[in-house]
Amino acid sequence: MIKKYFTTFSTTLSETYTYRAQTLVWVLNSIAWVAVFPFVWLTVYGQRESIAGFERAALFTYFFLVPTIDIFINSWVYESMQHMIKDGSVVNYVQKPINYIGYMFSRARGWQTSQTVITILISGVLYLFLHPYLAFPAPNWQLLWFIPVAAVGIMVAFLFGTIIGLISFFTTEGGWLKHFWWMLTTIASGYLIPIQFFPSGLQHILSFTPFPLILQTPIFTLLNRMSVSEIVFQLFVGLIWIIGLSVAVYALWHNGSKRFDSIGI
Amino acid sequence: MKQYLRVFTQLIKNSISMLTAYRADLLMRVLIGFGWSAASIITIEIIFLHTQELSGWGKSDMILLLFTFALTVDLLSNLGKGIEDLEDLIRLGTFDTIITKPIDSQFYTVFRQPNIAGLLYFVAHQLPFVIILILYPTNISWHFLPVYILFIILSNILWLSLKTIFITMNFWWQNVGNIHFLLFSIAEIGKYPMTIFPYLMQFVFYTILPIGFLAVVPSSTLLGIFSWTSLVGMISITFLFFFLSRILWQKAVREYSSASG
Repeated sequence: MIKKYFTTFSTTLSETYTYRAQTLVWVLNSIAWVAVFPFVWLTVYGQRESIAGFERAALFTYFFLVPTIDIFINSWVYESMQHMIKDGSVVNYVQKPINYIGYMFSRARGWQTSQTVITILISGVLYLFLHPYLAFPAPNWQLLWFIPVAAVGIMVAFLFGTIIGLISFFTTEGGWLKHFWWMLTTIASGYLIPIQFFPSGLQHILSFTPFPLILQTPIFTLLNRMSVSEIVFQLFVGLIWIIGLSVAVYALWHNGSKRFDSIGI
Repeated sequence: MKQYLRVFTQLIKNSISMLTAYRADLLMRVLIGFGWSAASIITIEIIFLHTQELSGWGKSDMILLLFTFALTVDLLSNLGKGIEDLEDLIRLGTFDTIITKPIDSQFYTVFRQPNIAGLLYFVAHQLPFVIILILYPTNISWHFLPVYILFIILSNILWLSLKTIFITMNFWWQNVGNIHFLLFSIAEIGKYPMTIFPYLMQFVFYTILPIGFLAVVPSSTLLGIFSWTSLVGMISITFLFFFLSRILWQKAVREYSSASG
């Protein structure tokens, strides 16, 4: 049962080796996108050591981790799903004895695993130059919370991505939805600024959404900036969202694949 | 020249008629235009919750910078959206149909699919910035407006040239069809004052990768910080990168071997 998904995962890993230059460009793209923010915030800090309870080194470390965590957890599965639905190739998976959603998940993890490895390698090189500005906590057992936090984050991001992808069954104009999702995650996940810098009311509202789980919560867990009760609360919120999103994915796939017409030769 | 103008007008007309086929998408793009400016404004608001100025730039100055940045990267670039499909054209062999046309291949590749929906997105994106600048005006030196307009024209050409140079690389590096996304990400740097960066990076952003000229130089001018050096620099860099994009394109087309059978 699991073997076919593992095979898909390992096949995708080999595929990324074939497209290694493209993979490298995507990784550099993710790094370049956030590269400006440490400079912006260091200017804001000026002579101050701390803002909103965030020390200068901690903030620099936060942005240092953003590309790796983003590539590892976030999901761009909607790109290929929209493409497959539009060009009709999704029909191949309706007939095959493999669950389409599971197949896409295995593929996404394959791509993201190789991209994460490249990001870690590049970050490792950057670490050699930047380590005086970074502040990682000493290893401790609380870091193990990263495993469930990352797992929930991955599921949330994947399910949202799948919903955006599957909506293409019902509309030919899905580009806007993708942009809307980018926009929302950019603000609400903590890409531009950690949510801790937001006004407290907004922080409170966002803590009930799944967005922090995609970026800020995993990074904060690694940086030991969250208490166990805060992590557990975020995991609980994430699990509720996973249930709701799974139901939505099931309904979209079930109805979408039913109304999908294909004419073969 | 007249022929190119006629072709361009026709391409614009075609694009407008395409709009009617994707009406819902168009409406959503307008909403997303508002949304992205909201995202930028929220970012600026949060930054300025913790500081009075960013390297000498006040909150309204930063809004002007964002407005100028969009004016630079979303205007001519949307009309020249066709260049972004170059990798597909080469891979599928359809670039052959372009080089056999009795028109400059670079002109046609760049301008063959003007993105009118993108221009509407641009208008929606700019509107909140304009409203904020009216409500919270900054110290604009209106007598520099003609120079600002000249800089905007030049920086539009500069941005399109940079984009063309990056995408032209697809002729040689077919396996990095996504390279222009890297340029888009690097260009984000242009939304912030260059003085927040170390000197070496500032040097790079005013020479090798002249992101600093896209929005910071025009905005500074409108804020009254004008120097002849920036005018000469802007003109020289724009022409340099424009001609570089021409030379590179011509070399690429000479070396291009068709992918079709």
